[in-house]
Amino acid sequence: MKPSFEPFAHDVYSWAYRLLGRHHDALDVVQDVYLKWDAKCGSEAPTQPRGWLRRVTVNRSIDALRRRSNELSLRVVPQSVAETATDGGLDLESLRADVASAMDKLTDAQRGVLVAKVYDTMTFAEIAEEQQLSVSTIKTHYLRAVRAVRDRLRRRWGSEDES
Amino acid sequence: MKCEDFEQFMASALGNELAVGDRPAFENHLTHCERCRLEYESLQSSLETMKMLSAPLQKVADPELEQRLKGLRPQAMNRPRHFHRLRGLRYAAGILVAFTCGYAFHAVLLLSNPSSSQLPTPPLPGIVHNDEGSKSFQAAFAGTHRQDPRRTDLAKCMIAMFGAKGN
Repeated sequence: MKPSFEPFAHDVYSWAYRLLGRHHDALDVVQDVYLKWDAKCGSEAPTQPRGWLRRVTVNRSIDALRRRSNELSLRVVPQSVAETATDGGLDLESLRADVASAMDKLTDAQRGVLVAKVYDTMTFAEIAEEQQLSVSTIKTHYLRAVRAVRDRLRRRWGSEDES
Repeated sequence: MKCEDFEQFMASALGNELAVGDRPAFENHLTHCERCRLEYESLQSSLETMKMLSAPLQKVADPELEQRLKGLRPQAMNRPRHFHRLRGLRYAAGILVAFTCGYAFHAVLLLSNPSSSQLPTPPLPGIVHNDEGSKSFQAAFAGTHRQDPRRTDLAKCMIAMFGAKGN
């Protein structure tokens, strides 16, 4: 029997919203993910539906954010970050772009582990069971993912320090 | 604890899953190794920054989301795929059932009124009402009805077709 998408709809929306920050953009991603889910379940349902949906949602959200950045020329470069930092407020839009840009460089597995740990507050054991990997592998993925985000954000902080 | 060993505990510490027994050695190394301490603090700051991307305030199970999903492929969400292939068959079956019910209802009405031959028969359309001719047609019609009410419709049609020509 084909698994239903409804129980996961809220989580999919939540993951998309965290990365995109906009209600309608998140809804667009939910729509895209649902279509992909329907196509996937037509052939063979994923063994770990939640993990599969998380990966697909994050990938779609990063794609959407990249398109948005290209369209609006909001891609963060150190100079632009320094300019916005002088406003004194937290520039969530550029923060999202930075996080998404960092996550774009990760593998699917690393991305999935990072989102599961940070946003879903799952334990390493739970993530390992979901992704069918060992706990040590999950921890390695997690550490690499956090380092990638740190390195991306470091450019931002470094520019702010210079200014 | 050496720096290579510290690396292994860092993921657990960042994920808030450092075992109670490992905590003293971990904190001791942080105190004495500046490189590892800076590394750990920078990673922790990055995680805190990520968490600033807060969860949505509104519930997602709202009518708009449901509308979006239902607008895509409503049949796919609730019905099996073969349901669509039988659509034409369903329409044909419905028409057949309606026709059969109508004909059965008409037959029941005719059968339930055996004395219909005594009722005045209205003149049939398309037939020239010659006095003698129409009487004979009416008699023929009534006779046909008495013999077999089910043939009334057919008899009507034939009399209308050929009887008019005869007159």
